[in-house]
Amino acid sequence: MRARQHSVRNQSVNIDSALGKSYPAQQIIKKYRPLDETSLGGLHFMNTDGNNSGNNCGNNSGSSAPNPIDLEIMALQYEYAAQLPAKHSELKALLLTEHKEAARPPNADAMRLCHKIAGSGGTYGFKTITDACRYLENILQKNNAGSNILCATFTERWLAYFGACAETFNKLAKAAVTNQLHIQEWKLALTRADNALHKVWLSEQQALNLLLQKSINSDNPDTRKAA
Amino acid sequence: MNILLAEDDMDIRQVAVMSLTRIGHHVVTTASNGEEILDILKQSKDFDLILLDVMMPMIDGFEVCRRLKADPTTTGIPVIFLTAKAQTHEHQLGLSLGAIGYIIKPFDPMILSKQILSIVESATHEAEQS
Repeated sequence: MRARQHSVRNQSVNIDSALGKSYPAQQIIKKYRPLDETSLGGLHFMNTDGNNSGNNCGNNSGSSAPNPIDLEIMALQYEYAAQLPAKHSELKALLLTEHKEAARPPNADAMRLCHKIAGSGGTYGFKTITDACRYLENILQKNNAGSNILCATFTERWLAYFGACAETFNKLAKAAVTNQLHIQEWKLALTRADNALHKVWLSEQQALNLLLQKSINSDNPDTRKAA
Repeated sequence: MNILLAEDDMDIRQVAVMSLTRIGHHVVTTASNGEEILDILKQSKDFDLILLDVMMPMIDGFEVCRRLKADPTTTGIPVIFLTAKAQTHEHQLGLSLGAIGYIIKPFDPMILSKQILSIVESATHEAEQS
C-alpha cells in the first residue's frame, strides 16, 4: 500500500518542517497573496506507478481577484485536511479495540465516526474520504447483529488506504499554505489528488470486497470475533 | 431566513454556518444535539426553518422531527433533514415524518442555500395548490 500511496513532493519547501503547525482560517486569509509563476516551487503529483504526472499544479492564474467565499472555503479545507491524520488515528483506535461491552454492537463507535467523516469529507471537497468511509460504514452497519465480520487483514488494508488519503491531503494542504497557492491552483491540486486517490480506491475496494467475502465464507482464523 | 441548525459534527456545523450566513445571508442558530434543539425551541419559536441532522446523540433527528410535528406550537416550522443517511428508506422515513426536504451529505457549501430555497419554494407552492 505504501508503495502505491499518492504523494505530493515539494522540492523547494520541506513539507515535513511544516508538519505540526496549525493554520487557522483567518491566518490563511491574511497570508493570502496571488502567486506568480516562480513562487509555486515544485509541487508535483505522483501517479499510481510512481511516475511524475508532469506539470506543476499551478497555472499562473493568480492575477484574478479571489472570491472571499472561495478563500473562506479554502481555509476551512486546509483546517479539515490538517485534522485528517487525527481522524485516522481515532478510527484506527476504535477499529482495533477489542469490544468488552456485550450490550453494544461491535464497532458501534467506529461506525458513528465513519458516518460523520463520510458526511464531512466530500462536503469539504475530499470526495474519496467520503467514498472510503461510506463503504466501511455500510459494512459496519451490517455488523449490528453482534458478530464481527471484519478480519484483521481487511481492517488493516482499509486503514492503510484511509491513512494514505489523510496523509496526502494533509501534506497537500500544508504545501499549499507554504507556497501560498492561489485559489484556482489549490482547487486544481485538490481535484487532481482526489481523482488520483479515487482511482486507487476503485481497485482497493475490489480487494477489500474479496477479503470481506473470504472472511464471511470461511472460518478465517484471522477473523476478529467480538468479545 | 432565520434558521435553526441541529448538527453534532463540528466540521459540518462550521461549513454549514459559513455557507448559510456568508452565501445565503441567513441568520443561523446552532444546536449540537436533539435535546438542545428542543430546549432552544422552548425559549423561542421564531424560526423560518429547521435544518436537522439525523444521527445525533441524545435524541436522533427523526425523533426530534416526530416531536416537533406532534407539538401544535412547532408543527408549522418547516423541517429539512441534512444528513449522511443516504438510503432510500431513510429518505422516505424523513419525508413521512413531515419534513419538506431531505438533503444528503456530502453537500456543496456553494449551493446549499439555493437547495434550501428551492425546497422551501416548492413546499410553499405545493401548500398553496392543495
